[in-house]
Amino acid sequence: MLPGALPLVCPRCGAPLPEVAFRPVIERCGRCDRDFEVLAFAPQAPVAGAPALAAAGPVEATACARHPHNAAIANCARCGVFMCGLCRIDLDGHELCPTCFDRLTTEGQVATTRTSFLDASGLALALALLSFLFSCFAVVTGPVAIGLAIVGLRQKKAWREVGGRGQAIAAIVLGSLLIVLGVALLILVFVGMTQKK
Amino acid sequence: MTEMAAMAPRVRLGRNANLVERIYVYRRGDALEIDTITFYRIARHRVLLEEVELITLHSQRHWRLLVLLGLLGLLIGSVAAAIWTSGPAAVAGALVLPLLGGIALGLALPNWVVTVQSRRTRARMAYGLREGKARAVVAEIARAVTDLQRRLSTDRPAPPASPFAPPP
Repeated sequence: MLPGALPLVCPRCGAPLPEVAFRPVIERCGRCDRDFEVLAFAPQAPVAGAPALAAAGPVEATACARHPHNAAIANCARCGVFMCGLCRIDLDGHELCPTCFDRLTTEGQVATTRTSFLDASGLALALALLSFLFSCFAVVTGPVAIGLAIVGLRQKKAWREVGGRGQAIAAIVLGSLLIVLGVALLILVFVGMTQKK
Repeated sequence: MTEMAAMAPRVRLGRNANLVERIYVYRRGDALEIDTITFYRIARHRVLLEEVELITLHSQRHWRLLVLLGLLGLLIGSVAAAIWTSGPAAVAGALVLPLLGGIALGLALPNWVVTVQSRRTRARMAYGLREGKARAVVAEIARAVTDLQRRLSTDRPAPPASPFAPPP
């Protein structure tokens, strides 16, 4: 096992499994004594090497900006610095140096490195459902729910997600009903007030 | 993630849930994307297929839920029987029967769980009462992992020779 790698565990009880135990199709956990079906693979260890400058040849050799003993194999697509195999980061088809990668991810400019998002569709549906309990605010919460649902649909489109639009569509339908309900309530209140006068 | 993987469609493979979070697992290009939704915040991580070491499948029953359903049925049944001692006993039966049916279904048809373990991350999907779907997902992931790992092992160039190695 590589250093820092997650241990392989029993899917039932979470107990670590010995590495030699993965060949049979049916495996039994030593701790919880229950069996499970297993498919084992042998992924190759990542190559973390880089050709040394001394071995790169007398003509083409350029040193990496961070590792002077390693030969550069690429330029950073953003700042142009020379990079060796240890420094090169392949991202969305571009090659970046670690400094530029850190900067771009910190600024949130690299979409694929984002790991935190708002669940707009879920929030829209929850808001729409809750708003039926507090119908007096329906005129406000209805459009907000529809707006959030549209944000959710845009998220799904940006992620190229197949299906999974049920929550957003339900929120739009409920939000529309809320708007109708809210307007009807406002009209009733207005009519009531004018009749009193 | 490569540009091609970023452009690949995202297909939902399965879900998993507990008391505090909902987890959705998607296939996108050469990776599984795991969306963990806590309240209204999605935290995303990936299992790269090239790093997958193990895919497991097992069945489980939600014993705690079944016990809870049983206790609820017992409670409703006893309350209904106490209230309608002289009335129709069918009322109590009508209240308890769906819960008993749920327990029977849970005991007869278990929950199938697929776990994908890689060097750094794990994905877990549960398929209630759908063994066929769980097996289909296992087969799909296994095929993708096999293809990718085989392709990578053939594409990978030989490591550069050390300049200090002895001459052949």
